[in-house]
Amino acid sequence: MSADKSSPIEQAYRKEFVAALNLLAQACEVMIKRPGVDFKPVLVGGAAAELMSGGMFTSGDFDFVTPWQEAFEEALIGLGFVRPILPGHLSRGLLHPPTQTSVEVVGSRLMDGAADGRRTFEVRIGEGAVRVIAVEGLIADRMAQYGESRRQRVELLQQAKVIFQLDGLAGQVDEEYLDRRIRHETANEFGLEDLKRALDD
Amino acid sequence: MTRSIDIMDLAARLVQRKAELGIPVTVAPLMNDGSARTASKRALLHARDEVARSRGETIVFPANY
Repeated sequence: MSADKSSPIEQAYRKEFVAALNLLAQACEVMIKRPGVDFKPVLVGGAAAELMSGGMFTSGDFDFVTPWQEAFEEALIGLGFVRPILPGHLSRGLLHPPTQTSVEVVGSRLMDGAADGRRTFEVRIGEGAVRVIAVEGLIADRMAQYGESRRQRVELLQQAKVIFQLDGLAGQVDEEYLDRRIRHETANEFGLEDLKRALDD
Repeated sequence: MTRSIDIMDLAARLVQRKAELGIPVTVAPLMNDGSARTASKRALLHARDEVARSRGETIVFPANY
């Protein structure tokens, strides 16, 4: 059997995902230079899960949280994104037809203000960087969505388990904070012990 | 101070951890079932895929919606 000679980034991620992240990093760099903007948009949701699971879960789009939605969208439009015409719907998101990247600002405050923004981190790519939700917050969000509809959404528990196990930031997960975040997001239905127990299932 | 990691280092770390845990690197990825998407998100994904189809392109970010 021959060894896989592709680079780790090629092994971990779809090339379209990397291309989209590169584009979004450029938009973030443009946006952060705007007067009055002092924090990049934070990548959340499925795309953050794809990033931190090394591509084990794929996302159809990219969700961000930022209080500077207009500045972010202007930066995206400057890079070729367009707002689609959607009869009967508010056009909340933007598309980049050449790469099929779709982006939506899903909120102005990270986890409705319950998450500590200082725990977010940046992933450097190309000439820029994308800011990403803290791993603790990402896991807690997956657990909360799983808790809302366990039978239908068991893949979200799987995502929480894999992201915790893979430990992409190499030991930087704060377990006390993670427990607190899971308990908050699941209204105390789950805690870190439940996640650890699920690892054995 | 902002924590920061290069995507190459992150990818290398994740590939290494998968190997340690016995997870195949090239496992078929799991896709969101789409059941929790908002109407706005469904419409956005539909519009995106329609644009791609009108250009004769393959959908590169397949999604349930």
